[in-house]
Amino acid sequence: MSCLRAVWLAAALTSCAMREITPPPGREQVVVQSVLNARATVQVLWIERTVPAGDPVTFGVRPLTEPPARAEVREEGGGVYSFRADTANPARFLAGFTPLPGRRYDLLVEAEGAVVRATTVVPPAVTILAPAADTVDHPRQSPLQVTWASGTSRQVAVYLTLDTTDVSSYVFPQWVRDDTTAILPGFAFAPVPPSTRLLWVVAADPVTARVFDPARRPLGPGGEPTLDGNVTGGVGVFGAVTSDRLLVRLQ
Amino acid sequence: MSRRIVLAVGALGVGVATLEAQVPVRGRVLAAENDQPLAGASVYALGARRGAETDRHGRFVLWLGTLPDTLVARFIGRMPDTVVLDSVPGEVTLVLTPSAVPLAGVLVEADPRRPADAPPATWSLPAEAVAAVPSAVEPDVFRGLALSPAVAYPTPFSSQPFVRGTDPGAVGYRLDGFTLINPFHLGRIFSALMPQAIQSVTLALAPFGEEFGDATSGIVDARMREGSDEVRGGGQASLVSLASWAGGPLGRHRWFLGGRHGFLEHLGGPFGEVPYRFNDLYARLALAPGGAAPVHLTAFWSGDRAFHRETGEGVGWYNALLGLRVPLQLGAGGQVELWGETSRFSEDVVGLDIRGATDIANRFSTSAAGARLQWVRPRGSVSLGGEVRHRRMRNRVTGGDRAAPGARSDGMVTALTAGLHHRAGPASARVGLRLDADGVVHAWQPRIRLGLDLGRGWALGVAAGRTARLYHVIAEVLPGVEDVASVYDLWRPAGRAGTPLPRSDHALVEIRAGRPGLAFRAGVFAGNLRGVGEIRPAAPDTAGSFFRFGRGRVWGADLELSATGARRSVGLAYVLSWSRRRWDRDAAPAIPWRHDRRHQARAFVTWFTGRGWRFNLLADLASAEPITPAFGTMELAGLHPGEGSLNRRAPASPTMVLGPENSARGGWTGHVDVGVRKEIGGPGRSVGHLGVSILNLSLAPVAPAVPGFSEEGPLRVVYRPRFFLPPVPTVTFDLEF
Repeated sequence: MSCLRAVWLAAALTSCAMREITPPPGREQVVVQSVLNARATVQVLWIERTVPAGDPVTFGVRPLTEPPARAEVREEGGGVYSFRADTANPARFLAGFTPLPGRRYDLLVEAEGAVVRATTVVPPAVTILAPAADTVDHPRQSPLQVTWASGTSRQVAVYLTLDTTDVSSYVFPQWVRDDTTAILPGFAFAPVPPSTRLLWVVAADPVTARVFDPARRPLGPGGEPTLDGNVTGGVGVFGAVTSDRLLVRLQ
Repeated sequence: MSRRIVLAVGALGVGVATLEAQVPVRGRVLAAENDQPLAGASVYALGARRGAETDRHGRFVLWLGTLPDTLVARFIGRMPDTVVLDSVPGEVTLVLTPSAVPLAGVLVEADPRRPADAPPATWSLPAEAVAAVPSAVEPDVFRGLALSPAVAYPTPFSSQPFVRGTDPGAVGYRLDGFTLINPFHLGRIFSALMPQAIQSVTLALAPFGEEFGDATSGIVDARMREGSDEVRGGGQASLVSLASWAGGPLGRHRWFLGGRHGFLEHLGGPFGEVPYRFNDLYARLALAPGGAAPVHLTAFWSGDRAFHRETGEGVGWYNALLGLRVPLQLGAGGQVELWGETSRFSEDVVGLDIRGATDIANRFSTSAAGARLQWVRPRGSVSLGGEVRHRRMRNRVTGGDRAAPGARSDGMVTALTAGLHHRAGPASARVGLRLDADGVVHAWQPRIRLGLDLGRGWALGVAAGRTARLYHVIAEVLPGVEDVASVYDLWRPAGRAGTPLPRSDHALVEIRAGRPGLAFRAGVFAGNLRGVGEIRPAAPDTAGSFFRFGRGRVWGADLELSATGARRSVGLAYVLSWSRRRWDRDAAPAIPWRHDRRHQARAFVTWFTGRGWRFNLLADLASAEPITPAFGTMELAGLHPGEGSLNRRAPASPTMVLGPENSARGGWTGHVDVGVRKEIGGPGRSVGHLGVSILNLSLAPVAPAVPGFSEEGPLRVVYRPRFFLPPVPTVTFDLEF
């Protein structure tokens, strides 16, 4: 019976020894997020900090404790554009330039001891082919088919927003891969008022599509959503989009 | 140089002179209880001090110079048999009875064959030994492979083995030497091979013999039972299945039939809407036309089916195998083996939430015909082999947001092999060469194995060589699913569409010692893996294609010690190993493989307490597997088409920020499995066994960790067990008549 007792003791010790799992310590990192917009004259860069693993997750922006020493974008064969802090939001930085389709841009951020780098290439210009007019009248309850040309871009997001200025409303795009046609269902036009909508066709570079298309967002080893960005020295995403839009007047 | 030539010619002359004075003695080695041939038994001529090993038909050829002589046949777990030869007989038959010595799996190293001839890194496990390993859900041959320290499993739930730091898909499965494509049930928690239908199973690690292909790390070859000279059979009931088997003579021929049926589909509860069924069928015929060596026919079928009655969603698959093997004599020392096989695997997944709502239609079929010629000479043998094979594989994965790319391949494959075995004094050398080729890619695979008797029961074995396979078997890996159950494989033909040829170079050295009641083995191994592949995990800085390919290195050392007494048997094993990978490019940093466990210790105990009671215990402890740590969380900005592109107006769900892949370690894993068997009846009567076993007696959620969000209290990143391993009970009752 001494043998049996030894076995039980070994089993009990094994259980106790492995019940505790010591996690690796969390690490605060610099987060940069920027998607260059070939349609905009002012580009936006968000610079924040991560919530270290183990700390309670807080929501909202987490600006740096000190302003970045450098935050700039270098255009391939062109100028260097520095980002300056937005007085309205300490995590938001702005630079005045318009990126060009097909052009490469390199991001450099030096902040909190980290040197963050990333590169993107602005996708080719996208053009809505059908409907051909810039403004169309459309029955409120009918689906709308839109066709576009986007060069070599394989990933396109199709948005329907309320108007030209209000971007605060949360809208879910319809992501289209390897196709140049999308059909917006009639129910998307149903709410009233207003009676006008803006239909956006946004061609995205691969990293932007990978990060912002929920269906392609990777899951971590525990099944949690993770970031599959393109930034070295920190975390985040540095992408680019081109877009075209169409005004829809609902009948 | 000229002196060497003179010496070589002189040695050849001596060899020829010796050859002329010798005669071949042929024979078979059979199991006493059922007259089945024993493959891998050793036959030793005491006078000539010369030995041979039986082939898969139990046959052997020994060249003897003088008579009389005494032949001794030995096999692990059996009493030796001796026969005195006064003159050259027609055919010698040696019959080995099961030994009263309890079998611990590690005891296989104590096989007292001519030590130099024993191939290194090879374990031959009789069915009694694998059946003694406590099972999970069902008695399982593959779970019994834990008796080899080279074998590990992705999780304690899994019975799919991987060997020495290489991918599970790198192992090839055989039944009677024929191809088995995917012999598993129910997420690979247990295999389709039940011990009652198996005579023995051999695990041969790379570089295995040149006759084996279609695997890069190891071969698991199970031998099905044969019928005996009288009708015998049995039945078994477990918590989830009923099984029966029978075998016997039919004139000069022998037959064996077996079957297992999982009856969960007939139960209500959760199985009412999604009836799960599994079935196995085993058949083997040994046809002995006119006293010639028997022709063997092997048939196997297994199938699983679990589809929702109303929605039709679910999964189903089947394996089918038909193989024929014809051994022939060719002159004094020649043997020819003709064989043919056809093996199929089919799998359908409908609407399961694997990569979104995914539909999968996987088909793999292969048919082959081949021949192997062998000339046995006093000091060795020469063999030549060839096979022509048609292989067809289809992966069709559709639907879902993360559907995998499909594969489609048809074509002929040719394999040629040549082998030379030579003995000189205490040394033994086997040199082999294998060529696999299809219309696009080919692989030369030289292999060499050396053995040296060191005296007093000690032997040294050295092996080196290359293994390759003309296609990849890549297991799907999904968070939260594949941690527990493995659902399906993806096949990729090599040498096409950027898919490299998987090939591995292996080297190993081992030293063995065997004495009555005590066995010891220690070895070191290293492997250089090229063209390894896996599904690209969702981790930072891993953008790109669905699969990734690269290189790997494995190295380590292992140690086995077993002691056997009249009632107790104890085996201990320890493995120290490293397994690393470089993905996508040669200059990429080497990272730990996902199952890279630095330390693994295992103990197996068998204890006969008398009156038919037998206790078995398997304890397994492994150091932490690599994990990809979480540095923290961030909020992803919203992508908006308006001016500015990104906005942070609305709080977003936290997104995990992972650290470098596999750069941290989770928790140690371990489990203690126990089994108790009570034997009823005895020799000359029907024998019954009541068995109860529990997988993981320790009752603790022991598992490696993965980062996740807390489910209680404030939201934060925590590390939680990758899976929970509850105690899994298994109850079986079998009766053999």
